Amino acid sequence: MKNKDHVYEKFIDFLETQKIDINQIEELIDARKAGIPEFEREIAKMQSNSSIDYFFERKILNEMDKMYFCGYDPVSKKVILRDSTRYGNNFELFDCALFIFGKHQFQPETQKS
Amino acid sequence: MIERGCQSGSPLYGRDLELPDMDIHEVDSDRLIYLTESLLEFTADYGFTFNDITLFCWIRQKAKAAVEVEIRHMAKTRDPRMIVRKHDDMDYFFQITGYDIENQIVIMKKFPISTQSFDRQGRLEKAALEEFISGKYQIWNYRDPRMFCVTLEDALYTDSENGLTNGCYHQGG
Repeated sequence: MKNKDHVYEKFIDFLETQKIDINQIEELIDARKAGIPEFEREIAKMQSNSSIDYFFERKILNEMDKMYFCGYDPVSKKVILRDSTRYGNNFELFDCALFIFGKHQFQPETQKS
Repeated sequence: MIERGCQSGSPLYGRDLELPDMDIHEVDSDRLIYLTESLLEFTADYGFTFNDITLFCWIRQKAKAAVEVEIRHMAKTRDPRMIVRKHDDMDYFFQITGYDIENQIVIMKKFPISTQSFDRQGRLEKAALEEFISGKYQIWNYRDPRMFCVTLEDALYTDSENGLTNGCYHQGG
């Protein structure tokens, strides 16, 4: 007999709450999968050019915050980012889908000496 | 398209049916980003990764195909040995009388479990195929009195035997 707390039910509840059809999730997965090869080629380019720092900006509490590219985990497909703020360095993991779908875009910063 | 019942011994019995293609339509990137962020929030809440959801959806497709084949067979044959029960309401049972392929809706007649024979006046009810996959509705075979329905959980166990992980879906419950 099914456990009421089964994760599948939670997932269905989540889809209903968010008014998301599971076909849309499957579509999202397909789109993410299709974009991974090109994204990984971009990552490889960034990794091969160590003289350039890559970053993107995000707005937090009305302040623009630079997120620097540090690395990439090809298993989980997550990008490792360094958040350089006046409070110090924090590291964050972002799923590749956020880059593939255009939420964030890396840009080169300055030439290292 | 709705499949109605037909005589037993249907040629569809035991065959893999051609299932409708997934309805793929264009989704703009804003929508994809919104979906991604919502999904990532959900996965973070329960300790999953995107890869877990990918595997989950793949296994769900397998479970869906198996359940759908069974439902279409039941809709055609109306085999009285095969009934449906709702896991949280065992006082009633349901006979599948049709299946709306396009909308993936199962059409059933509901009877009290005390009924001695199928009553043509049974109340019509509908349930989404999804509710069968999740196990809310279960197909029972009275000839072989074990739960007959193939649900997502069954599919997970099957894949576990084939060497695929299944543990991640039982976390956070």
